[in-house]
Amino acid sequence: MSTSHIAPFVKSSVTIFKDMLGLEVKSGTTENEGDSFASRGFSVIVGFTGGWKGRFFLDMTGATAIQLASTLTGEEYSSMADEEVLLSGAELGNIISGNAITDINNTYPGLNLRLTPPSVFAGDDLSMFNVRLNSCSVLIDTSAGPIKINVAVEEGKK
Amino acid sequence: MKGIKTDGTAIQVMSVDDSAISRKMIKKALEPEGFVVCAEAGNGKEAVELYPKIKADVITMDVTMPVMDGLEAASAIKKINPGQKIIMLSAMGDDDIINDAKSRGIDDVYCKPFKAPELIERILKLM
Amino acid sequence: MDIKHINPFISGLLNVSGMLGLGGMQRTGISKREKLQTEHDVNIIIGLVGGLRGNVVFSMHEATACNIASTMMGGMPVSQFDMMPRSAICEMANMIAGNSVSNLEQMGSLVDITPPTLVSGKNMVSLISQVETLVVQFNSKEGPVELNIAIEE
Repeated sequence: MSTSHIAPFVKSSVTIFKDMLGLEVKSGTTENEGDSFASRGFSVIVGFTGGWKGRFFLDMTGATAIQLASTLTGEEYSSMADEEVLLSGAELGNIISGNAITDINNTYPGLNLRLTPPSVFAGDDLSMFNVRLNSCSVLIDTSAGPIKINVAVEEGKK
Repeated sequence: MKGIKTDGTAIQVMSVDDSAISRKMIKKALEPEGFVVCAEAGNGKEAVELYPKIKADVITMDVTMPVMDGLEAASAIKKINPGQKIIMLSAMGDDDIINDAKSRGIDDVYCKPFKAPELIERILKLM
Repeated sequence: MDIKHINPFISGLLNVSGMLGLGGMQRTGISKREKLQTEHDVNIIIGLVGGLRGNVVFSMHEATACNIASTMMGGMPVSQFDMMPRSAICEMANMIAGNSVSNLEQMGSLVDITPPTLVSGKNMVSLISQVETLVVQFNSKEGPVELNIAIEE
């Protein structure tokens, strides 16, 4: 799978981590991930369709998710299962993917990518499987902990 | 405090967004500077229904919302009161959306993520 | 959420269950999703874009998923929820989504679906969408299945 699919999502994520969350960020290398990966415990998922069909994931530990939520709302949370932590994850997924899709749609007119609403899953031994999709990951090292960006796109598309 | 007018009263803001977190963030950005978030709505239809009952100097309006989206709601509110100041806050900043907003007479489009100082400046510019 | 948009998914699940030979799948209830906790360790999410925008999540216990996979593979025993049953369950979800979309098309609603993603784990909480989610409960010989639907309208 071409790494050009993931680049706009990484760019958007890094911008949001820095500008919106005030994190220090060090981007890692792009890796091919295959069709499944083990989650760190907290995963935000946004689907897209149009010229490309696939999924974008933001994956992190519960501790990181709690920290990000607190930064957004100014409140303290004791568990990643707190509704506001999940909602904060969803909001971040929304904004990062929204910015990435804007970038992609403006770069490739006619691609017309559209996003699904975000969903969030958190738990133990969490794993993600995208049937028949190959994916690319970039692990971003942030001052709130590592955050993985994963983009899975249907084969045969640009 | 930037949110207080010269007559000592606070600038009233109505916040419309389907994300409760987003509405919280707007409050967090504006309240410390003295703005008052006088009303909130979770979608465009709620916003249009609530509008006649409240008085807001500026409305911040998300674009992608269920039931009725922000652009539709902004048009409906402008029909009730053409002078109402509205800022669209959008995670998607397609040229299409920006042009659409302009054609509806919307006063400003600001892409998320917003920065508190810039949001404040943009609101003050409309006052 | 308009019931006319939910029925195509209910039909989709029932139609495909029949096609796959699942045992007596029937709807047992429908309710609003009140809490974030789910004891269903297998969740397949499919996104919708276009005439309708939202997320649909099929949820079940791992044991049910293994039973369904077993039925889909002609009764072959499936003791572990490994790659084969995972693929089988995703294919089922894809078929249900495809069938549902055809049903919606017949109603005049053009919807595009994303590929399915399977999320599995223990002690899970999930937020299907930022809008209200409806839960349609089904039961079958293979076990109970939930259809979570969150559609923005």
